[in-house]
Amino acid sequence: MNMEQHIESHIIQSSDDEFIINVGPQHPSTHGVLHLQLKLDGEKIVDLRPFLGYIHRGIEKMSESLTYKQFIYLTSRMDYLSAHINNQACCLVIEKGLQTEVPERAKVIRTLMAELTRLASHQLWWGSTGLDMGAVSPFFYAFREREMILEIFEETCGSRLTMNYCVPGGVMNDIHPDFVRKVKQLIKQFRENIHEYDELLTGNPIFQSRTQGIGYLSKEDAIALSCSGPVARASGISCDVRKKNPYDAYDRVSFDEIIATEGDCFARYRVRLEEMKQSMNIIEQLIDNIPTGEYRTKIKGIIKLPVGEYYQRVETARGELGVYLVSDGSNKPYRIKFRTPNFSNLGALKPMSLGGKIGDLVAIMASLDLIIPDIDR
Amino acid sequence: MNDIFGPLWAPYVGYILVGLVIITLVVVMAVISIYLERKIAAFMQMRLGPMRVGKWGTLQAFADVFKLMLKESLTPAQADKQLFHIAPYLVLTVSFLAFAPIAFSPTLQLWDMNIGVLYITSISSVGVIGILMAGWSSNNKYSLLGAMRSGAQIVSYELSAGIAILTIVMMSGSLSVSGIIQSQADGWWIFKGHIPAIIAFVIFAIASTAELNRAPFDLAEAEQELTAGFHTEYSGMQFAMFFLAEYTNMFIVSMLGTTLFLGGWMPLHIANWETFNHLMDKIPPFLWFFGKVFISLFMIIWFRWTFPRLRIDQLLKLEWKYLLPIGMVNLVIGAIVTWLGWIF
Amino acid sequence: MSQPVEEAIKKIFPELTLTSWAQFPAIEISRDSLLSACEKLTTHPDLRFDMLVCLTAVDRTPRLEVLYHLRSTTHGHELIVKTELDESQLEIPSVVSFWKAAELFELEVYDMFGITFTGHSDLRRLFMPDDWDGYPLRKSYKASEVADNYLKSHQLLIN
Repeated sequence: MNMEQHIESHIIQSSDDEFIINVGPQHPSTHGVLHLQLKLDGEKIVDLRPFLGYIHRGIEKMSESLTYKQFIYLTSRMDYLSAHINNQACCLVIEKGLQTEVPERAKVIRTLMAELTRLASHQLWWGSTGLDMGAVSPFFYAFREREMILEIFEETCGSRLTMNYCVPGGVMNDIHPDFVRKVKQLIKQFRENIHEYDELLTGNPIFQSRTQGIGYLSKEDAIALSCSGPVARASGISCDVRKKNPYDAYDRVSFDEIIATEGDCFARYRVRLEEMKQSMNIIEQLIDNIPTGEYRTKIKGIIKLPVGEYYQRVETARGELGVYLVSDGSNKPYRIKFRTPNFSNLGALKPMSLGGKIGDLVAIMASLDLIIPDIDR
Repeated sequence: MNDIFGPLWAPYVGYILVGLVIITLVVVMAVISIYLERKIAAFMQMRLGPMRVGKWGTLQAFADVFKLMLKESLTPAQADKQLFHIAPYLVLTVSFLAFAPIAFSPTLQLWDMNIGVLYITSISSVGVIGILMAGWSSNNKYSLLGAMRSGAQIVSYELSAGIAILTIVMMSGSLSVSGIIQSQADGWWIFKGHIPAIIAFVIFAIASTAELNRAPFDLAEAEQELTAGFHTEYSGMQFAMFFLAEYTNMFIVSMLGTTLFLGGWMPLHIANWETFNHLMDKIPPFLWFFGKVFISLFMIIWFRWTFPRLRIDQLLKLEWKYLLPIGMVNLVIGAIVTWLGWIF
Repeated sequence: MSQPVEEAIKKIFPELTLTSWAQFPAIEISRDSLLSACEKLTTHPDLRFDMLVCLTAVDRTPRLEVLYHLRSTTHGHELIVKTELDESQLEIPSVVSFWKAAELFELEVYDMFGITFTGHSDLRRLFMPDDWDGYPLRKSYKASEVADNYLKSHQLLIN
């Protein structure tokens, strides 16, 4: 089949009053290379078909030819805004397989980094939501605090976005001496500035009229589509992995799981804003009590997991990430499957947008907070 | 002039010179407003804006226009060539034409026609044709969608803007620009006309922002949704013309608002404060005029960088269900107030 | 918490042996009884597996294993369902009618392993181009060879 036939096979059959528009793959508002084919009747969306694969790099296949220590670095590139949490999931799975004990200090450091990552990710999401709705200024305000977080990462981990800080057994290096002071400064500044977030977008009547009542996802649909993260929690499902299956230091901090019931874009927006505040609570509880001790358990020699299957799930900024690892006893994984949250959340796009308008589609995509490399892997 | 060119040619040369002056003035004002927009936006977003080209980035707009002039103007293969080329010229010409009756000071007015205000609103309406032409002739689904949205928006909001203008025209009793300004010699309409004038001012502000296709009503250019709307396919000088026309229209709307509601070139007088009034009179009228225009310009720019965007149906609902009925009721109230003489 | 689910499974599927996959209980079902088993798994009040967390496959040549990871939001328990397919007959009924999430998961398994899901409304390749040769996550797939052939056949290689 040549290129023309390839394209032709993708054109949805349409009658004369409907026309087909391709949204993406290069498009400022799809948060990545997502190609959606919309069938429109006037302004109303009648059908929606996602086309993926533009950033498929074969992470699962590549992992089968890399050693256990090496494939972790590929996972930073899946959901790059929760890069640390992806790495954490892989390390946890390997530690489960080897049954190594991770020192307390490492657990707390990993949790702190995870919450900082979540905060940074939600800040970027907030800024780009404003940008998608047409309000340009919130973007800059969101990045003001995010810059501080990225600088903290750079000092300790060496890199701003893809940290590769977690290793099986703990973390790669101890935290920078300035870490505690800077994180406290960040929390103080963020708490002072968070009212700006509410003033700029949450309370704005234009923003509210564009998000309230739009993109409704019922609880049954959310369960049937295996949605997770803020998308599911805004439809009333209690599914926070940090509460249900705590890992690392989450069993010793107290925080609320934010659940809303309206299931529309505004509910998802509010859930994420509240999650930012909860992240700050967790950081505050841990930052003063980082246990002393080792930051890493040295794992001697080449890592070889015993034959069998292993599973670990974590809560990334977007939902539940599951790592399924099948080992055949060698030094490379036999099969790795990453069950990414964005893959299932993408399924929710169609029921939410059918019958709505294109402007609503933008609001829905902003509230779903999809990261396409996470879907394609 | 007669001596140099002889009596037959002199008037025509005069007209041409005046036309050139106006074009220069418009271009200079557009460039200033582009610079203002970028700087104000930057300060609102905690950054500096253009700083390198010229002192504090003042020559940035010239650099941009120069770059656009050097760019290749591409015409899409399937586009309707004549319409595609005419559209930007139409939109720009209409903007220039609207400058004719505006009074910058008591002595600086190009053409004091007796239907000045009506002329401005009618000429601005012709601009819609240019936009629709641009969208249709581009042979591009997105441009067409953008142009139709734009057209619907402009045509709807013209009604509200027109009714707001009508309120003031009725209260001052004159359609000519100089007549309206003269009627504000004892106080600007926004103070004199109290409630009907203030409501008319608010409606005029909202409706004009919508007519300019600026945020929060900038659906037609919503980059996040439909690339650049009706001017997606334009590049180079033709794009520069659309760009220039938008800022010129911003100026016209500010000037119209200033003339109608803020007293034009009339200084601010507060009754019985003689020394204050003397001081106010010392400031030359054209400074008064441009000062007020720049304040309105600032408000329009402020709106753009603060608010998110409205959806097309919310935009049209705002017009037909809220602005238009309120405008009409206000018109009736204004009529009653004028008839009963309840003006300050 | 998994004690009740293991007992419930033993009661409802007495013919199956309960094994484990990672930390979850697992049952193995044949391809032909898959749909009736899913019926019971979703509707029986003691089970109520309403969420399909993941649907994936593992290539254990000469067989391919299809894994269904199920969860119940009401009871909180989880289960892994395994189905083994022989290399020569890579067909399995689709479970889209039970869990809508299966729509995307099955597309990925079809793309990566070549397993056809009968009853799926829109089976197409998800990540790879439509005319790609081979199924990437199979052990027999040689990535560089297929890529080179594809580029050559589409005249995309720069010589």
